[in-house]
Amino acid sequence: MTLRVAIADDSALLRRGLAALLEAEGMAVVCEAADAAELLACVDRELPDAAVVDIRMPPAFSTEGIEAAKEIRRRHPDIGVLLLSQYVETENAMSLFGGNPDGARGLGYLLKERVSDIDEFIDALRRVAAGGTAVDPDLVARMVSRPQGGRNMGEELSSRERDVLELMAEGRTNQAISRSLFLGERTVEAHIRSIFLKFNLRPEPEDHRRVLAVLSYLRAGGGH
Amino acid sequence: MAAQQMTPRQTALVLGVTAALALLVAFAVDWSPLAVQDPARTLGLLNAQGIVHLGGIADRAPFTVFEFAMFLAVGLGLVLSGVAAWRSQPSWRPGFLLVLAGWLWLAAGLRRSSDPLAFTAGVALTLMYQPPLLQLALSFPTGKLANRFQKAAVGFFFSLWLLAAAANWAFFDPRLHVAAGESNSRNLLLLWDDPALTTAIGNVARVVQVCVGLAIVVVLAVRWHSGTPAYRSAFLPLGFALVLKTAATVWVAAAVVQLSGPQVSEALLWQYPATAVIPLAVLLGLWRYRFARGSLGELMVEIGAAPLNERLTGALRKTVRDPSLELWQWSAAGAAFVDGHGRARELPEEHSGRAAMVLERNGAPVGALVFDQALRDQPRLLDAVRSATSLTLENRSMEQQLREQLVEVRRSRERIVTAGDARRRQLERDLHDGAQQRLVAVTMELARARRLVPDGEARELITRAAVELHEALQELRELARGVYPPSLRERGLAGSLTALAERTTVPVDVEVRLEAPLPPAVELAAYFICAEAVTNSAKYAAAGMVRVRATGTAGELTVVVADDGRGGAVPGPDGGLMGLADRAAALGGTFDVDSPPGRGTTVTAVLPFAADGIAGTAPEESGTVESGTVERGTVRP
Repeated sequence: MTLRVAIADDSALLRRGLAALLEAEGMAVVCEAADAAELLACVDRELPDAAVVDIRMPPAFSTEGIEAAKEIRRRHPDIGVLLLSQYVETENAMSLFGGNPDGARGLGYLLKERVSDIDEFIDALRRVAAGGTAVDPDLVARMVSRPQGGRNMGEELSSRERDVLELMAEGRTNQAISRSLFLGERTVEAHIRSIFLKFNLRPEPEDHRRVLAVLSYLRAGGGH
Repeated sequence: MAAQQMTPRQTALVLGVTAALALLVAFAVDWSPLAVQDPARTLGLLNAQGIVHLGGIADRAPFTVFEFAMFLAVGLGLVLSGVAAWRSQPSWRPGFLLVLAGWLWLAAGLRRSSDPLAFTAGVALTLMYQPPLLQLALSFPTGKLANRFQKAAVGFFFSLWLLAAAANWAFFDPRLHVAAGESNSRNLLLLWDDPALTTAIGNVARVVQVCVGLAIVVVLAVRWHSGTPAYRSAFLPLGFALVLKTAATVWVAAAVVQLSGPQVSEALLWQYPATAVIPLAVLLGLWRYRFARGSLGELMVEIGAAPLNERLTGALRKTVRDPSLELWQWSAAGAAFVDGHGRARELPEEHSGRAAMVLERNGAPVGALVFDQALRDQPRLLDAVRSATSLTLENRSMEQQLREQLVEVRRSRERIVTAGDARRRQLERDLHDGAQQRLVAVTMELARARRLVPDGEARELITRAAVELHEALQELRELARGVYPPSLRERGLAGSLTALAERTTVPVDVEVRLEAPLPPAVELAAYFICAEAVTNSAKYAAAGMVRVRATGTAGELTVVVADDGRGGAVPGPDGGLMGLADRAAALGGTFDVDSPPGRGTTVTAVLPFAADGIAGTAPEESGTVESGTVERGTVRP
């Protein structure tokens, strides 16, 4: 199935590069927008499967991409949005996921340079287009390894549980986690139950919901 | 008359003449029993009728050493007060008139001599000390006669007094008219003895004297009435003394004719204290003058920080005893002097009763003192006031300059920091839109290239290059974050501090409470202060926990970073803490490090949103004083 993708970036160089890369991977780039307004017009018109959006765009060069992503999710709940940025910050992730009734569903937030690992990038884009979630590994690693006041994550979780936690927070499915850690799917499920128990969190059946629950937990510094 | 002090030579000359005169009189006094009882030699008694009356009293008091001492004291008092006035007043005239009166008084003592020439001279000079005093009263306080009428009047007094003496004694031989005891005084003025003529002349002289006295009183009363407060204040002691002296003279004249026995002699003794009040009054005037100069010192102190118009003017009024004194400011915009009510004013015309002193600086007017014309008679007092005012103006203008410079320095420092911040922001933008974008684009190209080449050496090379590129991008990202944290633009201080906490190896507890949005400069300064302090805590303090608190009110932000580390941190010139202190100071804020050894480090910064604290605390000014120095003051009529 040919994925139809809209691109928005104020840099023509990156727009072209990204479009070329996606087309080389057999995707259809339906429009290349230079700002949020152009992107929204395109999305309304073309109804693509997903949009790849730069966070920093005119006019203020701040977080226009996040607002555009929320707007797309509001207007078209079936269209996934993958946000790209030269920085990944927790606050931006929480702003992106937190205000959504669907949580992290159909949303992704990655460093721009993740495109250099084409397979990973395409995987993340397809995941988002399918209603999944993609969170940048750097951001997750930073949140997981952040020193917690009064308690230590390392003592709480086994190293295997930490690996599972990170992949889960990145938005991977159980299947993907078991594949990349060479574990059985049952084992992965057991680890996830154990993590939610240790975090004192209610188990979430859907991937995008558990991403948000875990991120919220980590951001709050481990306390509830 | 230019200000002219009495030279030491003049002082010596005056004192020498006075001493010689006193010695001459002392040697001339005939202390023989006959001489001390001679009524013709009674000091201060010119009237022939009085001498005849006194000569009829058998138990009249003789001339005593006590009386002579009083006589000398009055004469010396006149001379010394004259010298004192001469030395302290810029005009020599009042002092000289007093000295002259003193000399004439002392010379009249020759009357106690048995030498006919000395006796006659003493008689003729008996009341001659009065004309100089009258001239002083008329010309007070300058001693300079204002017009031809006054000059003629003074010449008339001298002639009249001399004529009265001659007329009284031209037909009076004292040796023939002493009923009790005898007189051996030889009157060289005598033409022939004629008691009837003497009595007639005496009566006429008395009427003339009373008329002249009344005229003088009227003139002085008119001057007093039309006089300004300043003139009255200066003339008051002398006027008082003159009234006392006149009353005493009338009393003595009446007593000599009306009383009998030793009472007459006692009454005659009253003339000494009555005359002595005159030099005393002059000394009192001098004291008031000096007192005024004394309070000038207070003036300079008192007006230091006072608003220019009200308190300075009040102090000046008190100092020169002129309640009508005003200080006008020069308004360069209106090219006019402006009074305390902001009205443009013209400098007073001549003969308007007002005088002005223009305070100039580098040839340009800065203000004017407007006062009673009578004050021009005390140029030294005005000089002192002018200096004080000028000093104050200069002081204030220097203070103003200093304050302006301080404000300017703070503003320029703020501008430097603000400009630096703007450049940081721009640099981060440039990195983001330039090098970073291009490198990201390169990673995409490389990724596609890697896809195109088959497994092998080329693909290996491309993979390694991609890894290097990834590292480069990461380093560039960290560099850009150090220049200006992008999260500040995107998420504000709270988001940036959270990001900071995530990247720190020590647990950081962040709490941000803001009532109002932060100005960009304050936000950035707060971020850098927190970042530096947190880095220090993690790196050097071996802290187990760091607490970051940012609390913003409507006007300022307080940032506190506290750790539980080893403490003992000292802000040094090489350390980052000093740079943070400078940053806080540039915003007009404070920066404080509390780091007792073993008990953690607490960094506190208070950053006001409006940096211009200095300008805000400057006192209200009623008038602006230009910078520069007051160079000279000119007195204009």
